[in-house]
Amino acid sequence: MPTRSPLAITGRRPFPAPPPSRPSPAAALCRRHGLSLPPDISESAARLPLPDDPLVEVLSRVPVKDLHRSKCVSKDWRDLIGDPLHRRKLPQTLQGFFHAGDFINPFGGSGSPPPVDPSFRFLKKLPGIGKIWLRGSCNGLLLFRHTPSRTISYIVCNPSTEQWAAVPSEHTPADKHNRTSRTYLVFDPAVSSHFQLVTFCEKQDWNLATVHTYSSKTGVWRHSQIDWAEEVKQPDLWRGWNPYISDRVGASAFCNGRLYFMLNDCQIAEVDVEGKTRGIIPSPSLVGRHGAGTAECNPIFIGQSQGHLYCINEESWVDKVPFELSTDDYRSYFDYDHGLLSFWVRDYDTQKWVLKLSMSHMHLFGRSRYIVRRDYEVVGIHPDSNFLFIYLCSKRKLISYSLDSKEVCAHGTLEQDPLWFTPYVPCFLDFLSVAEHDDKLKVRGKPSAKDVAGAADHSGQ
Amino acid sequence: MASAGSGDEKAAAAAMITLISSDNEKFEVTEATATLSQTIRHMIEDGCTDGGVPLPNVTSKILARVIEYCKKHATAAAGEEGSSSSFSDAAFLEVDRAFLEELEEFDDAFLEVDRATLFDLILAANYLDIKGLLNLTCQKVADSVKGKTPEQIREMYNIVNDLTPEEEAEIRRETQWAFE
Repeated sequence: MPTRSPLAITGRRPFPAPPPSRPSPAAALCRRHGLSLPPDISESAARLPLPDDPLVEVLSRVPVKDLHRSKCVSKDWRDLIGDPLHRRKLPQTLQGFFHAGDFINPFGGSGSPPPVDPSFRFLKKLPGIGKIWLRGSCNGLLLFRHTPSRTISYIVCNPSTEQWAAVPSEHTPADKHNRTSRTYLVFDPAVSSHFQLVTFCEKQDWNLATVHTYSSKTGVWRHSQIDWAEEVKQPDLWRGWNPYISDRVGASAFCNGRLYFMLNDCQIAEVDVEGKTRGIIPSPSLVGRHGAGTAECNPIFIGQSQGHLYCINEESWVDKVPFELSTDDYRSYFDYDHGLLSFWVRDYDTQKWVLKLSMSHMHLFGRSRYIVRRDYEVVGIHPDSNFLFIYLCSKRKLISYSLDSKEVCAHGTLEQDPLWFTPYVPCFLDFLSVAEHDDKLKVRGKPSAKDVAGAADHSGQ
Repeated sequence: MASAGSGDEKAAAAAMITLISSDNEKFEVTEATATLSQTIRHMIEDGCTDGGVPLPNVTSKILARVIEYCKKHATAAAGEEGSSSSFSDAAFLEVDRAFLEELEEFDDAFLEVDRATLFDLILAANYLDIKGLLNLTCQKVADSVKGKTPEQIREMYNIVNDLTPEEEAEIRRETQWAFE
């Protein structure tokens, strides 16, 4: 459950104290005398002079960060913005993370219920659905791997509307030698109500991968091949032997219509929704100065926030902090610190990484020599603000770090070790008609969800 | 309306709609102008516009502004339709751009009103269901809220904070990410 106290390592408040409310003199006078407010005052006092519908029209055009902040304007604004009736119209933001059958809302009060059932009972109770494994999310939709089934490989669902679609298996004979496959869900409700899946099947130590792309619009998989060796030749920066996709947590992002994922050897692949490689981007460079032979730079996270691609590097065994960072604040940490995290944002115009901030392990974790994966994981970045979420493995704690205020804040202890965190931003729009999707599959002679459900019913009898 | 005339006169008469404001002022507008309002379009389709359309929620001052908007946008829409058939592609694009620029300038000038009028225009656009006008006016108010603190919004629109300190602290905690 989230706790209200910040980590002791900063000793600062997680948020500024609210200023005292200032009722208007007339309203205060009325209250003092136990009078109800005269109509003209109560009208202007409670809200903008607009009824609900037009006010929602106004609020739906306010950017999501300003919208959520303006819940503090008055009761009326808070209730209107929070009302489930209006959520289809109002922009949505990060609600929290699914993890190991549970849900954590970093900013929710203790005991605040999850926005949807994190055990997905509505899916599991459907006939014909076997075991499902949450594999990812994108703008409100969730991707599940479905086993054991040769006919349905994936379930894509919107837990807010309980709409779902079954996706048939993508495998082709060419895949039989491939050991690992990674599937990414792509969905952008601002562009289309249809989703796409992009799967890479690869064999370790082999450059060739098969690429499968699925569109819910056509209901078919398309197949192609990718030769990573050819792709990475271009930037001429490859130092490793065989390129392959990193299986790290937080190693992929969907940003401005492109899919990004980390390869080994500090490179990031940029791929379009058809599975075509659009570029190989070297991860950002080192920030700190390092002794000869000991420099280690490690991209540990990529993510999307406010329309930009972010990359986080971990640098260990830093000897000297760069001059521009050696303010008093930094020096006090770096004097006895050996590790830092650097936060980079991709500039689309110059095609370069821009350093936003770097921060010592000491400041973030209260101790030096913290090692990613063993001691912590970066699990997400807030899509609408400069907040980073980090999981401390040994303490089972979720903390946040504000890139603006540089404050660290604790958000609760998890009951069991999560294997993954899946971010969730609700979407209340119809993402596709399930019936329409099933009909498309039927036309192509593939079993639909209904058929599978029917078959399961039959075998059960 | 019932008087017989030549065919042309009839068509012209049928294409005019009378709108009646809350303070009983009558406005004659063409059907093309009036049907920018979905509410009036439905009334015309249902054949209940004879004798004028009473609009008890809209004052003559606001209705005059709304009609001004609808006239301009109806002309622009008609101009676009006409131009597509009579100009080459390049000429069409040029005309199209000129129209859009002119319309944008008109919209900017149209929004130069005091706050009370702006809210009245939103109410009228909402009641009359005029999509473009609703978008234009709501966007203006939404833009004024952008980047403002709750205190600034309250001050700007004279809204009294009726949240208890505890309630406000609760919201600030839940939306901590938005206060950076």
